[in-house]
Amino acid sequence: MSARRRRIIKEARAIFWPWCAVMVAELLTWFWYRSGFEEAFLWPGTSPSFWIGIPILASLPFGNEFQHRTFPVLLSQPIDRMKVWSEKWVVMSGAVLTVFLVHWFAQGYSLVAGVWVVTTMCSAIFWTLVARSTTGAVILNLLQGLGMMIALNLTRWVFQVQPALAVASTTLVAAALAYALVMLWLGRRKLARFQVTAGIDGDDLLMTGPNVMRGGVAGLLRCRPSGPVLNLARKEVRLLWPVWMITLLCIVGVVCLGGLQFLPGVSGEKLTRVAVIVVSALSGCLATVLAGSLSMGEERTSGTQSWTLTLPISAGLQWFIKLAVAIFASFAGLAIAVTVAQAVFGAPFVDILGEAFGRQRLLFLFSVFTVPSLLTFAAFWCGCAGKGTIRAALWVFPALGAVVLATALGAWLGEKLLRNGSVIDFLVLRFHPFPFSDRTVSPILSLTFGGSKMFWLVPPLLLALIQSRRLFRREPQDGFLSEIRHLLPVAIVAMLCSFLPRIPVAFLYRAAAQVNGTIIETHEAVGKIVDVTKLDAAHPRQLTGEDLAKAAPLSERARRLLINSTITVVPKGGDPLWLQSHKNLSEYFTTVHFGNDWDCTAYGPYFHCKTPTGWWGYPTHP
Amino acid sequence: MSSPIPAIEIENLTYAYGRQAEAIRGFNLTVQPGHCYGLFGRNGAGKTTTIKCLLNLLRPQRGNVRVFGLDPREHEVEVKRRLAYVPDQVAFYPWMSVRETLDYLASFRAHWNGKTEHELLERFRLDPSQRTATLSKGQRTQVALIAAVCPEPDLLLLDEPTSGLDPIVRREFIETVIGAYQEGDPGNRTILVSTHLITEFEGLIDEFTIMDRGHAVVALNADQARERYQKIRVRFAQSAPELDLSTAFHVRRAGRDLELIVNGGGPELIDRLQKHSPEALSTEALTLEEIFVAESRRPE
Repeated sequence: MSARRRRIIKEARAIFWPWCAVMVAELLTWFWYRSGFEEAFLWPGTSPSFWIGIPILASLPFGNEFQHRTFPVLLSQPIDRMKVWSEKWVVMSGAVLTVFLVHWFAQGYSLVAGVWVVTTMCSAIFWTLVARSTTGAVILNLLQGLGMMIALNLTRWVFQVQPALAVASTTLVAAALAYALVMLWLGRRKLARFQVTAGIDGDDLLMTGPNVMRGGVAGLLRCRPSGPVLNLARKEVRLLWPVWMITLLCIVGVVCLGGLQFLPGVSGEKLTRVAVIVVSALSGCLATVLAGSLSMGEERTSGTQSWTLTLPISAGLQWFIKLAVAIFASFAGLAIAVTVAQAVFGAPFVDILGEAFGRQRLLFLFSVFTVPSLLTFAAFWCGCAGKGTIRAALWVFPALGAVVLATALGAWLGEKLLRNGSVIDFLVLRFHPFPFSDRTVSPILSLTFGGSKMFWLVPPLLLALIQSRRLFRREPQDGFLSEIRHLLPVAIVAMLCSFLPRIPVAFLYRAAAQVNGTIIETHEAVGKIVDVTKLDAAHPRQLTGEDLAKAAPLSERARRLLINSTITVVPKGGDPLWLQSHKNLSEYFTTVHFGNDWDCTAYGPYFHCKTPTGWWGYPTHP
Repeated sequence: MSSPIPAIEIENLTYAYGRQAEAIRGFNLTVQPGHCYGLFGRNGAGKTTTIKCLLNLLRPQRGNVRVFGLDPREHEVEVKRRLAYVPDQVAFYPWMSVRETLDYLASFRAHWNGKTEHELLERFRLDPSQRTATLSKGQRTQVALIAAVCPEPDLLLLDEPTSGLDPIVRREFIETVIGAYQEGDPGNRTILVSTHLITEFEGLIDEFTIMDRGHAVVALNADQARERYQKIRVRFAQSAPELDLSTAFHVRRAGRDLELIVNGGGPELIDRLQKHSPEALSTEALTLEEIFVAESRRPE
């Protein structure tokens, strides 16, 4: 194997798993679109997989060298730096373009997406060398992308009429391509002149960035010689400075978009939608994922986490402070961004956001702030299970996807059980053949499928919480198999929590189905052995279950349920008011007095039961 | 009189990283309070893993670990209150200055000797306002050493503490800082040092263990070791005679010269050598580093 080929394979291996993660997210998007859900930004897997996945892939080849501190070794090898650049760029381009192709097939051709891919591919190396970290490079790329998006939309709105619009758009695309070429050249130049100036941690812009803070804020966040808990919190807040920067970026973007409203002929609704996308993507998604993954990822990468663990303060408290500050940061960042956007765009902003998260105000507020908090926690969990910010960030969506899939699998199994559960049928017949009354069923249904279904989120969440605490103090193992191993119990619990609530429902359903079937079967059998024309309302015809079984063929289920029962048959007439609206009533009504004191009356296709504890059946009781 | 509770007590410690071979297997160690204990071993011998188990950074898969009679798993904070650690690779938050880093670390301690901190900052010529991101590897180690010594803990765990330090600072650190630390409360302040630079710690170490592939090869008192491990040089008038040298674990023949390293049994061997009327015979005690090298090269 030639040396060049070996180097290219090394580059490809370095970004293989991140590429897989982005690709899977893109493919899921494809399926999502095929399912008919077209509001891309509403699903977290859609936009981030492309708009954040592309910069990550583009930044990784050099970002990995910074993360693993291999840059000095790489640059000390007897190989031309430009050769290093070209090999890395070729591998990165291949990875990015394949993702773009899938995106193209999934969502159709988009000029914006094309320009985004080209500029990111060309500028990522420059930004990585400037930021000296993958995460920093991703943020700088996103900044660049946001600027481009605003410029493109501005052009479209300013030049609304053809051919001016076509000319302006072409000029803008040409400018973007020229910009990409300049960035490509700058990246090569930056690498040619690159100096490894830093110590162990490197000059990581992400980590050293807080130095830009001056005065009061820096003083507020400065660690003091006392107050260890506050110091830990201060340290976390400073560690999460990219989250604050993204919030700031989001606010700037929203304010810029708000400024465009005053241009003549600009669609306010369109701008508001763009603002919702900006807030959702930056504060709702990127910042929330970073808030969770940064605090663990950066500390693990730099080695400060295991060192902090040797300090005389409990690991549990350190874990709690870390998690609490991460969730607070994501919550606060999003709250600030949403508040500013609402102030700029007014009620329409909340209305459009409400389309995604539900129109009920309480549900809206709950979703808008709970979903990002869960995302932050998921990222934090990934940060505890793995090593490095980018790795954790890339794991968030596959991990969440796995848990969602497990939940869906549990629900599917439950449905199967509900529809044709022979085991449940056997158990029902054996232990409790009669369904419960409405009074009993209602709380069971509300507990399992009603408003309290969120309760079933608690066990997997609790397990993940305990796991993250345990993983927090452990040294992470290399290889994605260990992450899968940690994820498996959470997925299993999520599946069980989706499946188990369906068991009582299946039990109720199958029990009801058996009684329903027996009542209808009895009613039909009565029709075969009784001459309905001779029925007299004053002298109802009395039968026992055993009499009926002898005279008409009944199923085994019906025979068992009719033991110790009596059957009363009366002619149709004197229907209660609540029954008069129903059609297709039979010429006779059959009342079965079951052995358990249930009185069920069948009126043809309808029946209802009076039980010692309430009512059961259809139509609803009076 | 009851014996004092050992500062460190390790019994049958075993730890493996994932499915790899055990990094430590059946390792035993006892360090009495007030002693300076050396943990020597080649790379990958299991020294850092042992220290991490003491700090509860790793949880032993088998065996027991006690620090001042406490299990670090159950009494994590109490144990860490009484010790300070200098890792082999020092990492700080790069946005913090030296001053802020020391303040941050001081906030976790009940006691912090500001005078010592001031003296050491001056001695190491460290600028408190300098950001840790711009410190060299040696300077980081210096900051970590200051942070470990200033709380005046009962136990110092030093993992390759002098790597990256220049010879002047290294010597000063070992002789002055570590010496002064122990003299501050003689008989109570304990040091466990894992190092390759054995010569530098020669005068400080009271006891040591040589580790190899996860277990203890030799565990001795330093003075005893120097008595037992001897190098015997003999010169004969003619070529060295054939002798039964099975008690020596290292033999080197070069013409008339014979060089032997023995671990005990030196006087008997000298008596036998004397019977062959050597021209010259000299003995010398091995340094700890020579003992380490000799034991490390010894065939299994």
